[in-house]
Amino acid sequence: MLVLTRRAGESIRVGDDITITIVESDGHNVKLGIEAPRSVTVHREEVFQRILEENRKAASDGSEAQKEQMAAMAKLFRKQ
Amino acid sequence: MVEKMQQQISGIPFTDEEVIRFERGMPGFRDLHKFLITSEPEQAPFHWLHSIEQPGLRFVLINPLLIRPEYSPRISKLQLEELHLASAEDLLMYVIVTLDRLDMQQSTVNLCGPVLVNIKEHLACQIILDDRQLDVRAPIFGGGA
Repeated sequence: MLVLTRRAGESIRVGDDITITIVESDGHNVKLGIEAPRSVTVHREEVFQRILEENRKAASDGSEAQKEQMAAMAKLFRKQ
Repeated sequence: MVEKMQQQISGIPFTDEEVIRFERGMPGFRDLHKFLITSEPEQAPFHWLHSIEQPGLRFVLINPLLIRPEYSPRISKLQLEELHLASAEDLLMYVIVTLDRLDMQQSTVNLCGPVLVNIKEHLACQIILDDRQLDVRAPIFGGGA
């Protein structure tokens, strides 16, 4: 991992068109400003990880057993 | 006359026009772009989202409003732009179901990562909502109690 020291007001540039600026920092928190092209999505890491992990968990192998489970769940859902 | 090549996924025939494209894939599945959404009457209101590039891989989808009628996530203009959405009528929203293999009543939906589909352009994306009020594992049964 590349580690750089920056002060409030200073920036780093990632690639040609992403700039991350240290807006403010105190002992605990660092406030970042991120400028990136519209096509680049920016998320808090833990939020992104949560979705990624849940997607992996939700990925099904499409086995016969699961199809049956789905039908049973659908029945239960419609009854609700 | 050119005959269309018959393609199928899990025994379900489909044409290229039915394929839905996730330009950026989904978190954890960045390299998968082509999917098909299917429904079977006995499994309604659940749908399947099949990967065309990785046969066998699929997700279960449901309209979130059937589980949480008040669900109305904040979707940015940017996120809608990605879908080239011309009219709100062309937008479909789903959430991904995590099936519990041991006890289906414990199955959940991911309210933080809804899947948006532009049914006209056949474009889709999974958006990430940074909202602490929303649950990645919201119960389907029992109304969140």
